Amino acid sequence: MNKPIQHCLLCERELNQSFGWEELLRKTLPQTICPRCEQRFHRVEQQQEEGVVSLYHYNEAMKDFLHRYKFLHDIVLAHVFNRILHEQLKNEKRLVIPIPMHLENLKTRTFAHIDELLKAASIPFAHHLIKLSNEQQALKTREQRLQTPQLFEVVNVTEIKGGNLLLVDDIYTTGTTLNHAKRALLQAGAKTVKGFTLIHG
Amino acid sequence: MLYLVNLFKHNWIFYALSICISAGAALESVRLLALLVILLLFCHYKQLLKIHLVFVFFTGIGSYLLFSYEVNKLSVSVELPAILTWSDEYRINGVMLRGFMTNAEGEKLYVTYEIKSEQEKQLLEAQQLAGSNFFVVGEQVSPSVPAHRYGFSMAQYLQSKNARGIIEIHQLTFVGKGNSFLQPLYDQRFRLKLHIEETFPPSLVAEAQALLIGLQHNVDDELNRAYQKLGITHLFAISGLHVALVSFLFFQLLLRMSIRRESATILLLAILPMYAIVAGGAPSIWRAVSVVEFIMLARYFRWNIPMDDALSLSFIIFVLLEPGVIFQVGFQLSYLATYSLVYSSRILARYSNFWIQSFFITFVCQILVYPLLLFHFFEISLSSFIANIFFVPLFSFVILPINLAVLVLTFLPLPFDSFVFLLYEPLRTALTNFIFIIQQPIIQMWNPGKPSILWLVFLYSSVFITFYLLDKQSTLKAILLLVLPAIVFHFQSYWDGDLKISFVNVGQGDCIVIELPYRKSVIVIDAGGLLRFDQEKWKERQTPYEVGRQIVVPYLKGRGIQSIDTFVLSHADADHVEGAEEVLREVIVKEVHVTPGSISKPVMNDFLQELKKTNTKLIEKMAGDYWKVGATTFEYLWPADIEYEGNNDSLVIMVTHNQYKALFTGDLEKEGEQQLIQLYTEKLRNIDLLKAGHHGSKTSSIEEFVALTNPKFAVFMAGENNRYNHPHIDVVNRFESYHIPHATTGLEGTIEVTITKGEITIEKSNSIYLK
Repeated sequence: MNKPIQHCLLCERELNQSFGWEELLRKTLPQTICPRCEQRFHRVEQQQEEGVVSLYHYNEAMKDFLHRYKFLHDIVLAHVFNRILHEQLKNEKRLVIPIPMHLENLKTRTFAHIDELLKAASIPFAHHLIKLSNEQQALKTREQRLQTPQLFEVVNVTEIKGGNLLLVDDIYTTGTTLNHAKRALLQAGAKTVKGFTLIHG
Repeated sequence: MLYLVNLFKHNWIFYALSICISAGAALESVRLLALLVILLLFCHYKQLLKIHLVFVFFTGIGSYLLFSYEVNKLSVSVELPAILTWSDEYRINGVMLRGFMTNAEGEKLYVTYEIKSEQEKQLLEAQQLAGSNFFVVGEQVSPSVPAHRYGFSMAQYLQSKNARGIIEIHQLTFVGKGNSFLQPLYDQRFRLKLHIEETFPPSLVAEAQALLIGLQHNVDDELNRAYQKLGITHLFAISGLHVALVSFLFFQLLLRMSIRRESATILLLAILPMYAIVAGGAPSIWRAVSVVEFIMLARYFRWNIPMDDALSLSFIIFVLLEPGVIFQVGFQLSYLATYSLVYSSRILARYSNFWIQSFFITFVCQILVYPLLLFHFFEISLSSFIANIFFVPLFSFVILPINLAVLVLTFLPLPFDSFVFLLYEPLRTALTNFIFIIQQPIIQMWNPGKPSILWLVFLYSSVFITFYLLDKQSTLKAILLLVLPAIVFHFQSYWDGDLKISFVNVGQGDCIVIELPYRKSVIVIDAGGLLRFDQEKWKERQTPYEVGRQIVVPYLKGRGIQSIDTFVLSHADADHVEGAEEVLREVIVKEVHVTPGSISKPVMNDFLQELKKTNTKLIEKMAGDYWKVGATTFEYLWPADIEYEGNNDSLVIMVTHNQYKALFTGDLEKEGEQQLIQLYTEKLRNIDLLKAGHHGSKTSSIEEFVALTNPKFAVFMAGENNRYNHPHIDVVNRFESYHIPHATTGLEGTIEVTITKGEITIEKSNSIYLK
C-alpha cells in the first residue's frame, strides 16, 4: 500500500482519522472505513460452532463487501478488516494457515483473498495446504457438500507435525471446507487444529 | 500537491524531531547525532514509507551542517567599535542597561552598559531603543561561570538566544533611528507600554503589560514566585489562548463590518504576525501565531493539515531560523504542552464535564513537561494540578478580556475606564492577597532535585508509556507507571551512602551544606549574603540581586534538599546571614542554631521576621553542646561565653564522621584560635578538613593553629576579586609552607567534598565549565 488511505474504502466519505498517542508511539494499522460503514457489520456475540471463532454475521453489508472484494476483485478492500483481524490474531501462538485457493481460481481472481486479509492485518502465516479441486462450495447444495471427497493435500508435513494450528477462512457456512482441511492436517500429524473465520454464514 | 500533503500527514513530527536532534548536536555535542539513528530505527519500526526514512535522514544531516556553520560564526570575536542596532529585548535595571543588539550583518550580540548619570538614565528610559542605531565603543568579555552546577549559566543563555557576547559598552552614542519596516510595530509596543503606565492604576500596570504586550519586567518578584508555586506562570506568557481570543474578536469584528469571510481570513493572516511583534515575540506567541497561520492557509487551499502537523511545521521553521531556541525553557515548555494537548485530544474528548476536562487539560500538559521542569527548576508545583482548574478559566474568560476591554476604554475620551478600574482594582487586589495566602505552604512543591540525563530518559519513558496507556483507557496502569518512577526518583538521593560537604560559592561570604549518608540529616552553616549600602534612588535595581534566593536556594533545590534539619548561623554578619531569610521562605527548616546574643543585631531582623511565620525552633548554642546522628557527631567548640562581641564569638563546629574530622570556624580570628588551641589541643590535632576562619583574612589562621590542625585540605570562602583581598597572600603562603592543599570558592567555584569509606574526592564546579 503506497498511498495512505484518506477516504472510507466502502463509501468514499472522507475519513476523520484520529491521531493520538497510540498512533504516534506504536505501529498501528490505518483506519480504513468510516464509523457508519463499520456499524453496518454485525459482530458475532456468541460463538456457535465448536472449535471455530467467527467475527461477523452474514448480512447485506457483508454480502456487498464479499461481492466487491471477491468477485469484483477490488484488492484494496482487503484492508477493511485490518484492525479487528490484527487485534484478534496478533497474540496468536498457533501457526496460522489460510485456506488456499485452487491454482486456476487464483489465476482468474489474481489474488488470494485470505492471504491478502492477513497481510493487511500484518499477521504472519504459512501455507501447508494445496487445494485439489476447483469446485466452489458455494455453488453446491448441502447434500453435495457433505459428500465431497477430500479437498486438500498437506505439504511440508514435517513442519506441522505435533503442532497447534489455526485455520483461517473467510466464511463458515456448513463447515465442509474447514472440516476437510482439519481432517487432512490431523492425519498429517498436527496436534490440534482450530478454525477462525471472518464471517459466520 | 494534495498528494504531497497526504503523504506527509502525521509524519511531520519525525522531521521536527530530526531537526531538533541536529540542532542539539550542532550546539552541544556531535555525539547527539546518534539519536538520529534511534529516530530512524523508530521510523522503521513504525513502518513509514522508505522515502520518509531517506528524507528524515537527510533533513537531519543537512540541518546539522547548516547549524554547525551558524554556530561557528558565533565563536568569532566581535569587532569594535561598530554601529549596532538595539533589538526589542533590552532592560534598564538600576544602573545597568542590558540587552541584545544586532550588527550590520544582523547577528545578535548581548551587551551591557553602565549608565553614567541620572540624566542619562532618564533619557534612555524615555525613548524607544528598539531599532535605534548606536555607535558602540567597548570590549568583549567572556560570560561569567555559574556559581555551582545548578546555577544560572550565562553562556548557555547566550547560546539559547543565538547571540555572541558579552560586549561591555564603554561609550554609547546615538546615531539615528533605523528604518526597518518593523519599526512602527516596535514603536507601537513602546507607546502601548507608556500608555499602560499612564492610564492603568499602579497595581494593575505589571499584569496589563504582561498580558497585553508580553512585557514581564514590572511583575513583582514575590508575586511571580507565588505564581510559580501555584504553577500558573504560563498564564502570563502570551500564547495560544491570547492568540485565539484576539483572532476571534478581530474576525468577528470584520464580519460585523460586513467584510467577506475570505477577505477577513486574509486580513487576519496579515495581522497576526504584527500582533506577535507588538506582543513581544516570545516563543509561545510565535508558536501560537504560526500554527494558526498554517491551519488557516491550509484551509484556504483546501488542504487538510491536522493540528499535529501544523505544530511540527511551526517547530521546524522556528528551529531552522534560530537553532539555539531549543534550549530556551519557554520554547520547550510551550511546544511540549501543546504537543501534549494535540496528541491527547482523544483522551480529553472522553470527558464532557467542564471541570473534569479542565483538570485533564492541566494534567496532560503537566505530565509531559514535568521531567523537563525538574531538569530546569528541580521542583514542580503539586498544587498546580488543582490551581489551574480555577485559574485558567479565570484568566482566559475574565482577567484577560477585562484587560483587553479596559485597554480599549482608556483610548476613549469619556472616563469609562476609571469606572471599570474602580470596580475591578479592589477585586484584583483581593485575588492577589488570596494568592499570597495559598502559596505559602512549602509542601505544595515537590522538590526531588535535578535529574541526570539518564534519569530524564527514564522519567520520559514512564511518561510516554503513561500516555499510551491513557489512550488505551487503562487508567489505573497509567497512573501506576507515572507515579512509581517518580517515587523511585524521589528517593534516589536517599540511596547515597556518602558524606557530602559542599562549600557553596556565594561570592564573599560563607555557605556550607553538609549532607549525611542516606540523607539522614542535612546541616547548613550560614547562607551567604550581601552587605547593602545605601544608594542613590536612581541607582537602585528594580529586582535586587539576592545571594540566598539566586545561589543558595537553587543549590539546595538542585540537590533535592527540601528540608534542613539544622541551620547554623555562625554569627551576625551580613555575608553569613543576610541570605538566610530567603532560604527560610523556600525550604523547611527544623532548627536554627545561633551564637548567644547575636539575634539582637539589626542584620538578623529580616530573618527573625520570617522565622515567626514558621514552626522553626531557634536555639542559642555554645561550647560543649553536641548531638549525634548515626556515626556522625556535631560538636560546638566555641563560643565559651554568652556575650556577643562579633567575629570572635562565631559558632565553631566540629563534625566527626567515623575517623574523619572537619572543622568550621566561621569568622573566628586570632584571639579565638589561640583559645581553641589551649582548650582542645588533642581534638584539633591533624584534622581532615578546615574551613579557614574569616575568609582567609590575615587576622585569622595563625601559624600555631595551622600547624596544630594540619588539615588534609583547607577551604577559603572568599569572593572573586573581593575588596578585602581575601584570602590574604600571607595566609595562603602559611598553608603552603605546611604543604596543605587548599582552594578558594571565588576562584574555583563551589567545592564539593565527598567522603566515601576511607576515600575523599574533591570536585570544583568551575572545572565543569572551564575546560
